[in-house]
Amino acid sequence: MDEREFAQALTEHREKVYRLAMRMTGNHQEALDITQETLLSAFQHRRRFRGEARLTTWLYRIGLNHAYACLKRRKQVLIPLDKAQELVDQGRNPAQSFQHKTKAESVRRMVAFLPPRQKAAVHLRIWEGLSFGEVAGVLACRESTARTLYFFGLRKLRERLGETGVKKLEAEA
Amino acid sequence: MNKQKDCGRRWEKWILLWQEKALAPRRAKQVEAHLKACAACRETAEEYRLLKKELGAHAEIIAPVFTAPVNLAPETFRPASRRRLAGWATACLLVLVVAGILRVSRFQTTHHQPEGDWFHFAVEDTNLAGGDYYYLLLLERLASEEQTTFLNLVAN
Repeated sequence: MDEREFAQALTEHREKVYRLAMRMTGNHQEALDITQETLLSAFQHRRRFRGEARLTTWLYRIGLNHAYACLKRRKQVLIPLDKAQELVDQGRNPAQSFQHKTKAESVRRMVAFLPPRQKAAVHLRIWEGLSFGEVAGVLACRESTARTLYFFGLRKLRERLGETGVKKLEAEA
Repeated sequence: MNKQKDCGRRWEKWILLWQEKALAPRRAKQVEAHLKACAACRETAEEYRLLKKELGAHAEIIAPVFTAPVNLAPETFRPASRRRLAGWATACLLVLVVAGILRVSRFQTTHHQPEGDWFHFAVEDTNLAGGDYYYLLLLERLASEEQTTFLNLVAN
């Protein structure tokens, strides 16, 4: 793969990197910066990509490291989500839209309060559809550790919702 | 009730991983058999199913539409520390260039260029100026045999 093709492949994955960065930081501007830094780092070190893993897995890993560095710089891991992040409402009336947004916001906030590695594992598994092996590759850990991180993340979310919270959430939909 | 809770705690991880189809076949069969027998664990399984469904439906992050191409120009590849260093180096170079220009312009205003025989003018001018720096500059411009003649003339 020559430089031009590699750059093209990178730009095709920037939405995925942005989503992970946004999940980790909760801030739109920081997520954009992390996305840009990730693509630049990947392009700069393109010779290190040996094609053993998928390009997305490699990018997620670089992006996650940039996100960790960003959180470390802020010395703040638990942050409120950016208000600017809006979900796209398709075919909902204003009342439904408001209810949907409120619920979406509360669910996103719950996820935002997870520890970084659990948050990353949950995000990559649920929203990006990675296998546990790939999640382990991104998090640089064993597959069993990735499964455990995912489990602890979901268990925390379930506990936060309370015993009847999940059913309530479903009933409100 | 407590017994049911303890049961849920013990099986919780296996139930979740069974839903994810991430268990070995033998373990998966154990979980299935347990779920048939235990109402509390069936409830736990249902809660996890709903939780994942809700997360998938409501907490997705929508990425903005990226229209501008990514700037992958080589100058942006350098890390911030090296960019800062390059900035300082450029600033220092600029200062040196400005200082050099000022020095030359001062030199040219105080010492106009000779017309005709520059060698003898240089000797006169060196005597007049008496500055070591200018003296060295002139020496550099002379060929080795001329340097000896020049030094003799200056000495006299």
